[in-house]
Parts: sequence; C-alpha cells; structure tokens
Amino acid sequence: MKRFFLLSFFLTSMSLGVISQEKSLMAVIYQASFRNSVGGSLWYDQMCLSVGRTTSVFYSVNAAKLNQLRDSVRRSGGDMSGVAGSMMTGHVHSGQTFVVYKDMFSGLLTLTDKIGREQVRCVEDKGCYSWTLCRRDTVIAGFRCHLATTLFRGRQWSAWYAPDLAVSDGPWKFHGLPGLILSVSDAAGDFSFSVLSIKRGAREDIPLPDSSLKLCSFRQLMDYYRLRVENPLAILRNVLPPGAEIILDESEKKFFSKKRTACLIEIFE
Amino acid sequence: MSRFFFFLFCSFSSLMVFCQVRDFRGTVADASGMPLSAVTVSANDEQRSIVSFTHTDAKGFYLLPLDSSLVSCISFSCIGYKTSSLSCDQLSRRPDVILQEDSCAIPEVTVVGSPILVHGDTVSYRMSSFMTQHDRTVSDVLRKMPGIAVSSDGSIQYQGKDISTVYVEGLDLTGGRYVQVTENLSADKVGSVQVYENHQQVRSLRDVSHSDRAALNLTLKDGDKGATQWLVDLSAGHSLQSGAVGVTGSARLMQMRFLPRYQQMNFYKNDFLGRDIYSEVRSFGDTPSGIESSLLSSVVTSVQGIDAERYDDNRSHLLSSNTLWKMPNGAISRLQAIAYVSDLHASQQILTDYFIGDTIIGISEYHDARQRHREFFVEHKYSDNGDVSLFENTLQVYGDFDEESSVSRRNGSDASQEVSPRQYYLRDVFRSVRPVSVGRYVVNASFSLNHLPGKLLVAGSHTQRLSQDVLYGFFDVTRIRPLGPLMLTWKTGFNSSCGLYSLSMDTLVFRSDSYSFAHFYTSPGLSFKSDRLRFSVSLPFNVYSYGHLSDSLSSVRFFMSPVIFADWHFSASWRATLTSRYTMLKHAFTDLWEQPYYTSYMSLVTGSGRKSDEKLFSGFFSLQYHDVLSGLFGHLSCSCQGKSGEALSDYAVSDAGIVSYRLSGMSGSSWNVGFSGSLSKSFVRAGLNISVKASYNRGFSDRLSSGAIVSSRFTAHSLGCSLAFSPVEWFGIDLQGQYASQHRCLGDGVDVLVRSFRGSYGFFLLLNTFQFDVSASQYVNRLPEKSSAYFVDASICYKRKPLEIGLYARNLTGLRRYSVVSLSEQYATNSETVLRPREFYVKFSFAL
Repeated sequence: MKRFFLLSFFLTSMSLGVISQEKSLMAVIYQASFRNSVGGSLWYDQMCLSVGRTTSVFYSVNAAKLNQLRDSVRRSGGDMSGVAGSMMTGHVHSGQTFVVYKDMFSGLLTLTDKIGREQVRCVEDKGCYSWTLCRRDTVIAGFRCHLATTLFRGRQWSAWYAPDLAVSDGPWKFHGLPGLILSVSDAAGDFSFSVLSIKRGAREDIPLPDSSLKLCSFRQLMDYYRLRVENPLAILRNVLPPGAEIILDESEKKFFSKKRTACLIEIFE
Repeated sequence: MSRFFFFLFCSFSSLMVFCQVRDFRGTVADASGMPLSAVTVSANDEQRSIVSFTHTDAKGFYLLPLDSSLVSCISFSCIGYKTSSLSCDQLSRRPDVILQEDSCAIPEVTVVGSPILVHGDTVSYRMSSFMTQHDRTVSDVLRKMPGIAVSSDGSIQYQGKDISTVYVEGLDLTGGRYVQVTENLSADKVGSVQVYENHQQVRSLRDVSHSDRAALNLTLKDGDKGATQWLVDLSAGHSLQSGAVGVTGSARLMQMRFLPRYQQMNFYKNDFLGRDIYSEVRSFGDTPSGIESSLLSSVVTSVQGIDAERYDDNRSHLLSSNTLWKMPNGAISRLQAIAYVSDLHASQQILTDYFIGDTIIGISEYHDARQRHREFFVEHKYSDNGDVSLFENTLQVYGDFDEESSVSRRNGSDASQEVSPRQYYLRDVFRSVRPVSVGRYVVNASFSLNHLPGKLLVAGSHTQRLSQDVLYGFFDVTRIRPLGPLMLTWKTGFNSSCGLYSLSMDTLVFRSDSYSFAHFYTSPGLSFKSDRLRFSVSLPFNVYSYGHLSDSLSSVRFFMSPVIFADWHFSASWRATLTSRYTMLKHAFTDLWEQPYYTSYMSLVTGSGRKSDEKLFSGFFSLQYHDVLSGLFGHLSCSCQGKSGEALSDYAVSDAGIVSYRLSGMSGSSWNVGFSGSLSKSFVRAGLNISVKASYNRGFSDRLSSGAIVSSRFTAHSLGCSLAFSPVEWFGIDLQGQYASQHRCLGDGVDVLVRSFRGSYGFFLLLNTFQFDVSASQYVNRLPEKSSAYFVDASICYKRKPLEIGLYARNLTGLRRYSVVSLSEQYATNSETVLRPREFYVKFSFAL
C-alpha cells in the first residue's frame, strides 16, 4: 500500500510537472508584414514571441490588447460598439487572430485561430525545417546574425538568426536554427517578421493551447483563409444568424465584387 | 614509378585523414544531473561560422556527425544556462556535458527598435530617431544620418559615393531627379529610410553586372499611404536696403499621392528669393550618352563657395509633374514633364591674372548681365523589370531657349554682349534582357538627335550663328551564360555619330564642317557573385574610326581597355571595393582653337588638323565600415587618375585684353592621386550626430609656358566637420565648418596658395507652438589678403498642424559684396559679386 501511494504520488507529480505551464524567460517583439491578396498592399502588425524553457507562444500584441479591452468592457457591462468605434478610428488595431504554440518536449506545434465565430486548433508535428546555412552575416539589433534559407510549403524563406541568443525558436512556425531568428522574410516579399525589441520575460505563465477546441486540418484552415479573401460575403453570411440579410450600398458592392486572389503564407499544391 | 605510387598513396592518406567524418554523441544535463532537452549543439569553424548543428532530445541526447578537421569548437547553448564551448578533442574525451545555470544569460533588457538596422545589403534608418521638431523635409533629416551626406545642390552621397536614385515605397517615381522628393516630402510622413547598398536596378542582371552605387528607399508611415497630400506655401516680403531687389517672395503648390500601383507628385514653385529651385529637377543619375553640349559659353560665371540664394537676383518658375503607374504584370510606366522659366540678374567684377611664362597679365572685367532661361523636358519610361527578363524603353524630348545679354566693361572699354546657346534633342534608349535555354541575351540600343542653333552678337547689329547638328546611335548585344560558378559575358556592339557644324555671319555661311565617328567593340568578360565577394573583369577590344570630311582626314585606331571591379565583404561591418579602367578618349575635333570672335569669354571652338588621342587610366579603392549598433560609419577611399597624350594649348593675351587659345601640336600628361575619408557617429539617445570628413589631393600636369612644356604641381586638402545636437525636443544646435586649402606651383616661378573657411552656426528654440531659429554663416578667403563675409538669418514661426506662419529675416548684417578666388593652371580669378540685400518676408504654409 505504501509503495502504491508512493508510486501514485510520484506519477501525479510527474504528470503535474509535464502539464504545468512554463514561465516566460524572454519576450521578443516582431514587426510582421503580410499581404492578404496577390498585388494587394502590405499590412503590418506587432507580434510577440514569448519563450520559455521548452515551450513558446507567438501571438499578435494588438489582438491581445483588443481581447483585453473586450474582456474588461464585457466584465464592466459596457457597450461593445465603443470598442468597434475605437477600431474604426484607429485607436485600437485588430491584429492577427492566430496564435502559434510550440512545444519542444512533445515536438508538437499548435495553431489556433477563428473560423467564422468558432475557435479551432490545428496540431502538427513540429518536424524539422530543412534549413540551409549560408556563409553570410550581418548585425541586427546589435546581435551578429547568420543567414539560413529554407523552402517551406511553397515559399522560399530567408532567416537571420543570432547564435548568441540561445533559443532555437522564431516567429510564426519558424524554429530549429542554432539561435533565435531575428528576421525572416519570404522571397516574394509577401510576408516578413523583423525584430523590434527583445526583453527579459516577466516570468508570466506561457499559455498552453486549449485542448477543448475543435480540431481542424491546416488544409481546411488555408481553404478558409482563401475564402475570406476571395469571397468575404460567404464568410459574412455564415456568421450572421439564420434569416438575416446583408444589405450593401454601392461602394460596398463595388468592394465585394472586386476579384481578389488570396495570398497565403502556406501554399498547398 | 614506385615513387609516384608512394606519392599518390601519401596524398590519399592525407586526404582520408583530413576528411574524416566522426559522430559526436553524448548527453547534456544541468548541474543536478537532469537531462536538458532542446539544447543547441553547434559546430563552429575558425571564423565563428556555424557549419553544423543539432538539438538535444527529451533525454538530453545529441548526435552530431562532423568533419572534425573543419571545426574549431562545439558549443552547447540553452536559454537560462551558460554556453559551454569545447574543442573536438575535449568532446571526444568527455562527451557528456553539464551546463551551469545562468540567470544573466538572457540580455537584461535589450531595448532594440534600433535606430539603424542592417538586413543583408539593406541598411534601414528609423526616421523618428534622427528627426527633430526643427526638420521639415526628408533632406533635413538625411543630413544627420551617419553614412549619408547631402550636398548643397541636394544630391545625396552614401559612404562617399553618389546614390543612383530614391525610391518611394519601392517605386522609382522620379529617376535621377530625386531631389524633388527629398526636398519636398515632409519628414514626418516617412517612417524609415532604407539604403540598398550596391544597388543594380536591373533585377535580372544582379548576378552579372555589379554596381558600387547605393539607392535609397523611403517607406511612408501607414497613415500617409494612399492619401492625397497637399502642400501650399506662400511668402511675400521686401528688401530693406538701398539699391535693392525690391519685392521678394516664393510660392509652392504641391500634390502627392503614393499608392501601391499609382504614384503621383506634381508641383508648381516660384522663387524670387534667390534659391536655385532648378536643382530639384536636375538629374543626378547616370550621365546620359549621346547628348551634345553647346560650344557657346555663358557670360555669367558661377560664384564658388557661397550659396546661390545669397547673390542670385532671380525670378524663377518651375512646374514639375511625375506620374507612375504599376501595371498588373508588374511593369512600370512613368511620365515626367518639367517646365522651367527663369530670369536672373547678376553683377560681377572679375579680375583675372593669366600666368604667361614668368609674367602675370591682369584683365579686369565687369558684367551687368541678364540671363533668361526657358526649358522644357518630357520623358516617358516603360520598364518591365522582372527577375529573369527586362524590357525597358525611355523616350526623352528636351528644348531650351536660353538668352543672355550683358553690358560689359573690359579693361575700361564698354560693350554690349548677347548670346543664345540653345539646345534641342530627342533621345530614345532601349534595353532588353531575355532568358534563353542556357543564360541570357542583353540588348542595348539608343539614338539621339541634337540640334544646337547658337547665336552670338558680334558687333553692332551683326550676328553670328553657330549651328551644331549631331546624330548619335548605339547598339550592342551581350550574351551571358553560366560557366561553373562564374558568369561568362560577351558584349559586341558599336556606337556611331556624325556631326555637321556651320558658322555664318548674318546670312552668309563662311564655314561648314562635318565629321563622322564610329566605334566598334567586342568585349569578353567574366563575373562572379557569392555572399561575400562580387567580382567582374572585362577586356574590350575597340576599333575607332574617325573621319573629318572637310579636310579629308580619317584615322582608324585599335585599342584595348580592360575594366576590373571587385567588391569584398570581409565581415558584417567591413567592405572593400576596387574599380579600375583604362580608356581612350576621342574628341569630336581633330584640332581646335578657341577663337575670340568678340571677347574671350564668348569664344567659339573650331579648327582643323589632327589631335592626338588621349589615354586615361583611373583606379579607385574604397574601404567602408559601418557598425549599426554604435551608429558609427566611415569610409576611406583612394583614387588615382592618369592621362597621357593630352593636347597642350598655347594662349596669348592681346593688348586689348583678349585671350586666345591654340593647340600647339605638343602633348603632355597629368597624374592625380586623391585620398578622402569620412567618419560619422550618431549618439541617438543624446540627440548628437557628429561627422568629420577630410580629403587630400596631389597631382601634376604638363602645361605650356612660353612655348616650352613645364610641369606644374598642385596640392589641395580640406577638412570639414558638422555637429547636430538636440538633447531635448525644444532645443537644438547645428554647427558646420569646412577648411580648404589649394596650393599650385606652376613650375616657372609662379606659386599660389589659396585658403578658405566656411562656417555655419545655428540654433532653434521651440516654446510651445513658437519656434525661433537663428543661423549665422561665415566665409573667409585668403590669397594672401584676407576677405571675409558674415551673414545672419533669423526667423520666428508659429506652428500648429497643419498651419505654419513665420516671419523671416535674411542677411541681417546687410553685406552687399562678396569676393572669392578660384585657381586653375593658367589663371587665378578674383570675382566680386553683388549680394542680395537685407530682406524680410512672411511665409504661410499649409499641409493637408
């Protein structure tokens, strides 16, 4: 019995150790630029990579601020139209809605995002990027950086990593280099992440992905992203309650009738 | 034979030893013995470059196959732990590694958002880090950025070299006429300035044709993209001194729009304040080929070393329109149109000392001249500049209707002068790059038609006309194909021109001359590009054919002119560039003399006979350094130029003071070696930017003195520094100083030393919405008598966006005359110019 208790105590503490959240050791802010549609303009966002010992989370600072604002308004019983108004005037930016969680221990990468009103998660093996190390160096934000390139899901990426920052991580899904990735961009110039600041982490918990969210494949998510750009009205119709109609004025009709081709960060053949 | 096999055996053995690949395996744990996962295990070579790496698994285990001969150390690094570095031997003996915890391993607080970032060949300056409340235009801020310099005419240099163009949001709206962007775009609209180092504009030739010039890209702030921006400036005032200019003022109406697929910049400007607004549309790009210049010279000589706004009594109007469309296929269509009208009045007293043998002959002149300049220019450029192909065509039309008239006094006798050095040209330049199964083809073609109907008043009502008509054509084809890691290029082509010159007095043609010129060349070349090294070499074989029809003279010359270019980035901060070329210069005239038809300063170049070919060697070496973290930029360059076969002209001064030149049939040589360097540093947090630049030139040249060749030497050096200090938002000072010295030893007893100093000192004070500016300028010349000039300007402005109202005062000291000395091999000129008087004006600015 004593052995059973000891064993169960040991297993419990082990499992607690596995699922307990890590503390943030480093917070890296990136300027992200992305293009929604082919030939469209570039959009910018500030995104944060919060790094723990073996886990990390990458999210939009603006989206996080907006969520905080919404929560505080909701908790105080305020009017959500004020938040929308702040977004219209540019005081609050919506930012990217996706969040990327990386876990070196389990080797899993989870991306959560919204499809319509529903929050979903996509899980994949972190795997290994086939990075090619190049003999080129530069200085970014005071750190000596080396160049590495990779072909990942249809895009050629160039990444500058800092060996002196001993974190094998980077923005978005990038990782696996012998140093923190401070800048990465694709050859077409559609997507890029450039470091803005590096700070010691405030030792807050690094969140874990919500395992209760509905699972979805990356292909489904990309199909949704494509639809969001190429047929935004279809997305709107799905979000509206049954029976509701969308009434558009002339400028809105013109906007929605314009033909666009989605510019996707991951291209599935 | 046995020795041979022994040698082979030894070679293979050594190769086997050196190429031995070993598996390094072991575990990584912390001090308590707990295995550490996700530890980066990286193998570094002697240059600290990572040659291979891996990460530990969940059990702390690593496996790294390595060629140990290439590796100097293996590092184990992990966030929160001290990095451990071991040699291959150490690791072989002790494969299990223990990392010590280190809370300081993470940078304490590394606030980055650095003012300068480097991304490959792109250096990005954050505008807000260098901008103060005092700065209005992009140019004002560029001056403070380390590594970047802005000349008084608005042209921009990066690390000592002229830039090729300025892009706005990646699009080339203005081409080489970029000053209109940097002098008119508000600094607060720009988010960052990016410098593309070694920028080759043709994307499909970036691996073959190397450039040592940089280009700038201005990225706008999010809120200013796409919006139409309007700027309205209006100023009016009056001079407050006798014999003065009178009513002064200026106006600007400007409209700008920068969209991803459409950019537009249109403005109208006028200026009665002496500013050279034409410099905003002057081209600072590559020198265009096939454009002739007029043989008639100007009456008014430019004043060295002082800003035009101090002395120009002008009435200038400038209309400029730049529109760019980016088509769905990525091609660019750009239309530029410029119209410029200017009336200028200048009064100058010029004393020229000619060195003839060991005697000096002095001539005094006085001009009260009026210049009327009317110019239009239209350019359309279509460019489909893809990654693998290019199709580009540029069509230019230019015309001017210049006129100058003057009442002159030369050695005491009065005369009136008139000259109309007019020019019209039509020019088309075509470029194409097409990929083929292996490599590419490049086609360049150009033609231009020049018509220069010059007119000169000779005496009384008699006029003399000099008409120049020149047709120029150019065509070449380059085949590019890869050859292992190299690119092989082979260029073949020709350029040809024919010219007709006719000289007539009133209606009677009394001289007509024509020539034809053809230049055939074929040029094999090799180029190489890697991450650190860019190298190209070509060896053009040239055949020059020249015919002078009126004298039935013709000549055919063969000449080789090797060109070498190398650019080596030997570290992230250091770079070295070398260029060298050897060329032959052919001139349109086989012989020349400057024949004074009326006075020496309106002379006509004509003649016949044979002129020897000039051979020119030039070499340039530059060492550049930048450390963006500390904001330190510097460059050191050495240039060398030698010329041989240079025709020497003899000259004489008549009793009436008329100077005439004539080729002597003798030739000489000249050499010039120059060193220049600059160092600039930015202390962003302290708001301090300092730059120091210096140059030293030394050379000799042959000249004729009393029919004999003598060697003259010259030495020139300059030292300049500038400092901008703005520790708080409401206060800043700006100091600049430049000392220059020129020493000429003319070889026959004439020894001249000219020294000059120019300083400008200013400060601004911002009190709430009011800004006070005071600036002072000082010009000192010494030859050996000292002459100096001081100017003080002041302004007070009320600034509340989008409105600005200011009261400006210029030349508060009321100085009316300025004298300056310039020096050449043959004469020294002391010119005294009448300056603009003390002026006050009020300015309204409105920006939307």
